[in-house]
Amino acid sequence: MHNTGSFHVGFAEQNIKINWQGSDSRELIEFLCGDLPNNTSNNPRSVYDLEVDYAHSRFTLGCEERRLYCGDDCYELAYALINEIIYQCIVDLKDGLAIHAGAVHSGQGGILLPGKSGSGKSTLTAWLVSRGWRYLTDELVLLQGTNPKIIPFTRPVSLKAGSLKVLKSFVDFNKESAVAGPGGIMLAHRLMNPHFIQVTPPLALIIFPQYVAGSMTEITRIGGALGCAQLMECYVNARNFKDHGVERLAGIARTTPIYRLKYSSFDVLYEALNNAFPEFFHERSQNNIPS
Amino acid sequence: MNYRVNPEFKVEEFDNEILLYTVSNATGIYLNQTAYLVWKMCESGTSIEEIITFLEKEYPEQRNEIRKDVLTAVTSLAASDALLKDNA
Repeated sequence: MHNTGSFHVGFAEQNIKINWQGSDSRELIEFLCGDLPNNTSNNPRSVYDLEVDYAHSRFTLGCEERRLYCGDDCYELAYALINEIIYQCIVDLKDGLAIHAGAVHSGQGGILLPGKSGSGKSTLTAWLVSRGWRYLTDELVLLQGTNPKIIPFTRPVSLKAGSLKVLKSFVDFNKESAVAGPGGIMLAHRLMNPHFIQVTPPLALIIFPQYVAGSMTEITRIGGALGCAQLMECYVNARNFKDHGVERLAGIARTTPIYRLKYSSFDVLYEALNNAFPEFFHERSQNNIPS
Repeated sequence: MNYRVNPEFKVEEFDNEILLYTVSNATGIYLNQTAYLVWKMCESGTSIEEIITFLEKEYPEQRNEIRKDVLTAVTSLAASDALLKDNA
């Protein structure tokens, strides 16, 4: 007889309920959502049903009458579930600006790494975390308040298949510690840095990463207008605000230092970041974790 | 050819920079100084040739670049629908 239960994701004060069936399902949902806040104080916005059977490679995800995934690729199922949760959490969100971004935390505050898919933000986030920064997210943050603090959507680090070789250059992992498929991999962020605590640090620095194969490493300060224009490209709940929240976004762009980082390799990146931002990127290691 | 500004676009001013954005889909366009000048002059009904003539008179030392810079700015603003062709 299967054991069953429910998991409630409470990011952005929402309640997303995921019914799981069997220990494989429970383990997967804890792997994917275990670092997200829990909320059962209001009625669930959406209810999902998750069934995972590793032995027979059977994975299904449904939402009421809709079948969202049915197949043999656990990564695809996990990817679909995370995207559903994110969508449900931000689709009507008016309390905070939702930005598509990676984020890490140093002792000096939160560093935001906004970017579209393919910009290299997840890989850069993973690399920074492997160098001692605290992980916040590789996907989405809420910026709340006039001196904004970062509310991270903390999930496993998710990388496309093309980034796997790079990832292996700085993280040791095996199949058991990841959810992998032909399309990509989700990896526990604690493998890169086991010192994790949930924090909502103040926003201190914005860096737009841009992976360009074969390029030299370049770090360029950009002004508020250009920074705001680029933030707007990563801004996912604009339509929930009367003026699209642009004035709030512009306020953030005016008060936060913004840079563009072009890179192709991690070999010289550490030195470049350390030179550009000594207050954030002084020498760190797994034994020198920012508090 | 004359252009008029698209009224859907709003201006957000930063220290020495300008951001245009639409209220319909939250698209942002960064403007350099030339592009902002073109935008402002189109807003007041000035034609492109009049803008070029005015700037060439004001900045004679940059005369060789002004026409190209203005036309580049107009092309970019028109491609973003921030400037619309005025057929009137």
